[in-house]
Amino acid sequence: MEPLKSVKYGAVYDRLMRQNALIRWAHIVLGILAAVCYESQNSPSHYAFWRSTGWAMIAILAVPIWPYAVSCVAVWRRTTTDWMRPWIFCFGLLTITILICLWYLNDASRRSGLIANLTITMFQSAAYYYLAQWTFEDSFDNS
Amino acid sequence: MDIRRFVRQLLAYYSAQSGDCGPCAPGPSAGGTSGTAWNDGNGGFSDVTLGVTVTAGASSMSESDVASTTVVLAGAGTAGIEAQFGEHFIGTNGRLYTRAWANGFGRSYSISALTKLAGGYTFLAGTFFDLQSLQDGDITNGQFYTNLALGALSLTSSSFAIGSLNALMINNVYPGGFQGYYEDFFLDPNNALIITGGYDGLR
Repeated sequence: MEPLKSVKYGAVYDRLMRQNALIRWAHIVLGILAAVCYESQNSPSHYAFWRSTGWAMIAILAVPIWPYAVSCVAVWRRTTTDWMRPWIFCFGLLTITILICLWYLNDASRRSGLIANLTITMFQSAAYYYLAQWTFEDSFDNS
Repeated sequence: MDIRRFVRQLLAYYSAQSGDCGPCAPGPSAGGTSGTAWNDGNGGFSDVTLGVTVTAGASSMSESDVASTTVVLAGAGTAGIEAQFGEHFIGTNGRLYTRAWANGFGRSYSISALTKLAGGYTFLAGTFFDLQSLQDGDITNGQFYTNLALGALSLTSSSFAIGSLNALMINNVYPGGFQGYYEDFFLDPNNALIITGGYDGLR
């Protein structure tokens, strides 16, 4: 391989690795943010009774971070050579997170209960998943 | 972490839970309520700080509940493997290959096909255990049909399976499922997350 070509490939590799790190960290940070907003609206008293139904508690605690887990599964091992789509993906992730945090912090969220919040997070998961598919469509090997 | 030590602790914990509630000291007193919960003598705890009495201290899960939850987690693992490695092929040498290289090294099998097969069996096993739970009276009809619907949805794609896993878990392990939650919620929204029906199974 020509030296110049190898330098170019190295630069592309570095860029893809940076892109992957950015997307992974965006999920972790925004997931924590959403979880903090959600949990701040719940009374923590129920933590006292973990022992009786720990699995239910874990599942209920996972509600706000579940969309990020779903999205992570879709994007964790993917990169794209497209310049714009990863930024659009991060922007979409951030925008939806801000909207969902505003919803969690609103009293209507607490009054609506777990099932309403769960339904909203399922739509959020779907939005993240289809956004991820669009962003990384050149890395799917479906041929 | 020493995995063997962890497993030993886990087994000791569950054997203590399934016993006669001998070691039911006021354990669940975390979250700023330390020292306020005590055994009320009826298998439950009273907590003056929270102003509630709950039955806590023994496992709320029957054997078939544990089995169906284990199957749900196995299904989640299968879906995770499909999502991460579904486009790869596994060779008879145990190595992973991309589609382009799949048939160049002897026989190879599509991970996606294997996980779909495993997912199908997981669905059947989960439904079987749920049926057992239904017959034993551990779950309600609503819980059974919701599990069935979410399980069938999960069969269609690994992303649906992962996306609906949390809902499936809540429906599976919350006493009475979604319906049970709604009953608690309409009774008292603030205390709906304090699960009081854990020992009765069916409400």
